Amino acid sequence: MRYLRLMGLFLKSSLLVELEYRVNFLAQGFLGVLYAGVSIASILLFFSQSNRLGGWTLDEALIIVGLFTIFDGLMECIVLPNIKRLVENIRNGAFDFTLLKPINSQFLSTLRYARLHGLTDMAVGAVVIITAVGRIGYRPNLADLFGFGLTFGMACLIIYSIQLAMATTAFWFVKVDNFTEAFRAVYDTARFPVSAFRGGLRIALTFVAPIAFMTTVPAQAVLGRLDAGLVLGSLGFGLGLFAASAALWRYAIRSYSSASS
Amino acid sequence: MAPQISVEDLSKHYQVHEKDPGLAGSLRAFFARKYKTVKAVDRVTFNIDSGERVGFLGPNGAGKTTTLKVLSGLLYPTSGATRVMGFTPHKREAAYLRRFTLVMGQKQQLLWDLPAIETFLINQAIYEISKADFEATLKELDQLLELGPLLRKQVRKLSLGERMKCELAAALLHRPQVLFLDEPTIGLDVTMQVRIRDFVAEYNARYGATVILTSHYMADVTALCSRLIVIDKGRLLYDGDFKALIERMAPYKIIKLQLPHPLPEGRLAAFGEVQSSEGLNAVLRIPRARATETAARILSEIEVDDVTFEDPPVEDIIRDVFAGGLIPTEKTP
Amino acid sequence: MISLARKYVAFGKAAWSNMLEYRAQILLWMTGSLLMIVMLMVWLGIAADQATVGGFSAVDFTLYYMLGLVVRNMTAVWASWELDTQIREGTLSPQLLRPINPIHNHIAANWVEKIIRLAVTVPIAAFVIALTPGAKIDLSLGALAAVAAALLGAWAVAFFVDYLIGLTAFWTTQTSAFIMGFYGLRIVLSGTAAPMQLFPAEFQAALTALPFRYMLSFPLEIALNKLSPEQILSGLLIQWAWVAAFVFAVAIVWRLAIRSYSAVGA
Repeated sequence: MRYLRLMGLFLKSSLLVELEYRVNFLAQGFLGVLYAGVSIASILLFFSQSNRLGGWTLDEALIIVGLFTIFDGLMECIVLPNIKRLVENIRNGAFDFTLLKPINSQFLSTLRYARLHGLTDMAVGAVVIITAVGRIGYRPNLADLFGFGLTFGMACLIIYSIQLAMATTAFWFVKVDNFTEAFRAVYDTARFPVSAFRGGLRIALTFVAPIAFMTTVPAQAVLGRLDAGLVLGSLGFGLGLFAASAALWRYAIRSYSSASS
Repeated sequence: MAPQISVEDLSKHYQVHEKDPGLAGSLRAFFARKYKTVKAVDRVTFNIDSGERVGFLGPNGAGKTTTLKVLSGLLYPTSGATRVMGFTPHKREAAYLRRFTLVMGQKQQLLWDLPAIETFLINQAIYEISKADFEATLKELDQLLELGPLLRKQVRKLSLGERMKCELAAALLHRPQVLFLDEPTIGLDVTMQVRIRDFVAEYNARYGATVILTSHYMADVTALCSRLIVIDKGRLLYDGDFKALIERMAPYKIIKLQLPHPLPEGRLAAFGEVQSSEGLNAVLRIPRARATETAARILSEIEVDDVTFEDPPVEDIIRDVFAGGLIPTEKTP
Repeated sequence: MISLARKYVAFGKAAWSNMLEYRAQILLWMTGSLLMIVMLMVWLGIAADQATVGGFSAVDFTLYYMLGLVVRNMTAVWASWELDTQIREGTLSPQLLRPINPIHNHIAANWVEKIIRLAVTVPIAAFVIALTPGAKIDLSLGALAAVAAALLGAWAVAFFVDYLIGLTAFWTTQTSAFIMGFYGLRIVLSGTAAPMQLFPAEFQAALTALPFRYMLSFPLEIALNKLSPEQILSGLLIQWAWVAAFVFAVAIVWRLAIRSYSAVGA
């Protein structure tokens, strides 16, 4: 309950900050649209040479592009700003204030800030998905939508956990601002159906870096192609990575307290 | 009754990595880092009672901040025991975190882009302060610190002093019983330093809160603290009454003379050690026991326009302490 | 000239030891290049079903993206980020007092960073190409010279465009948005998402005229024998015209910037 109230306050203060920098808000919103365009253009380039990408048609692949854009916005909105602050605060020592608060430090460090311009990406992504589903002509039933909600939620958890784990390394390495780029590079593969990749890479993107569970699986859910294995995998990766990253966080806090000066 | 804060045999060691200068050095550091153990705090023991105002003195890197961080639970001690209000700080129990505050002059918790009141509201929710309590406390802090319009201005537009006032208010909203103040006046001008000092004294008087203060500015410590803990290189050098330290470390007085006309060289040396003599102004250092007698002799033997008696500046005394004038630690009652 | 070279050596040494200090970061910087490998994988997937894709065989794609990996790292520039930070935080001011334009410091640092980038990417590219049956680079001496000129040109276009964008920080706080926007366009228009030849015909004229192609695709096209001598020559002309234009623009904007910067007294 207190946590929900705090989330409300955090959102409010983030909105106020955003309003302080209106030009930035517009510029970033525009960037979001531009990047969605880049993703769509790349997909269109592939389909100008072939009518299938890993067995997916253009419209089906566009659902994946839409999901990719939504997660992009979600990262821009919540994950990245918090991680940026966290790394900054660890570097300049203001992180101490976080530890002094009588509240879960992981909550306070990862859900404190929001950059609301990320909402434009999410909106664009949603429009792309709805348009693509409309063109396909398959009407997702209630079970499909439920499956989509579940796998989508797990995808959010996977992204959050991976980024949290990377941010946690800031306790040991001084200058890790660019680790988000490392994640980006892998995440870039999520703009394509995982079946577009062959052999070992496809397996790696499914089981090692669970990119498949971020975009491909939720898209399959909308198309009514979900099976029990995929649901289990999705739940396993989502909950498992979350537990692992939270454990890493606790370990990092402990070693921060015993090592820093 | 057990003391509110007890520190027994506390040590905090940590490792730093070293790098040789130059290209080869950084290459070597790239592959194998060398580590060195630093004893930030080395077997320190002291007790502090509820409501005391204690000054921590020591040069940079003496271990003052490290001690405060251990007391506030940010650092695990390497060895030794600390108890504050019955809690073990490094367990960081919520009940403990709610009862003290740490203000760091060089770090800030206020949201940079928003008015301070927004941070206050968030702290209200985090510390679960009821609306009535929050408003009452805010009103009192407002009175004491004269926050007024500052609360509605973006923090980035405040001056350093104004920002510090808001930082203090943000740190005190939950009415902590123990205040750890680490360099709260750093970088502030003299007027603002006095304001902050007065506020801390007033807060201590009003709520009976315990205050531990570190500062580079001697005046902060002399004005606020009756008890002094001096540490250097992690070791406790002195713990006790402020006045006693001065008498022990400075067994002499300073006599300043203003002369109507110059005296022959060596004339003043007959009275005691001449610290400086420039034109018509002279400064003498006289052993405390002989100060009165010597003053009388001066007045009877030579012509003077003006005489003043002073204790030596506190800075000098402390410098003497650090320079090796180690005083055996005196246990406070 | 000699004194300038000496300064470059000094800048380079400083950049080198700074870079080693942040060892974790070096590898992270380079992960952006993985996009080249991702794109290669997707195209190989498509090429597996068809003999050639728009004139590109699987071997062509491998050559294109592996050489592209190297070229991308040769043309990677971060000067605008640093310039943006330096201008916003005021740390540029002390540099302005030195009797040398800060751009030289950025160039030196950029080239030093390349040493590490190439040390990692060239072996990867060489290894993959060596393992790909039928992949070989067969170029005449003239074409080799053209590749060299195009590579240098690609670096120069990338560096000076980036620097020009960085200089906007003197007037706006939105420089990072410009950088990111430019970077996004670059993914599609410079040949990262797909080789230029695979774009629909109606875009070809625009792609040839715009500067993006000359930051990545152009030297690759020469190396893959996809261009006629006339196309190489006209390409080099357009590329170096862009270089000249951007160098000129940087010089002008720098002068304007310094004037307004000193006037404000920031």
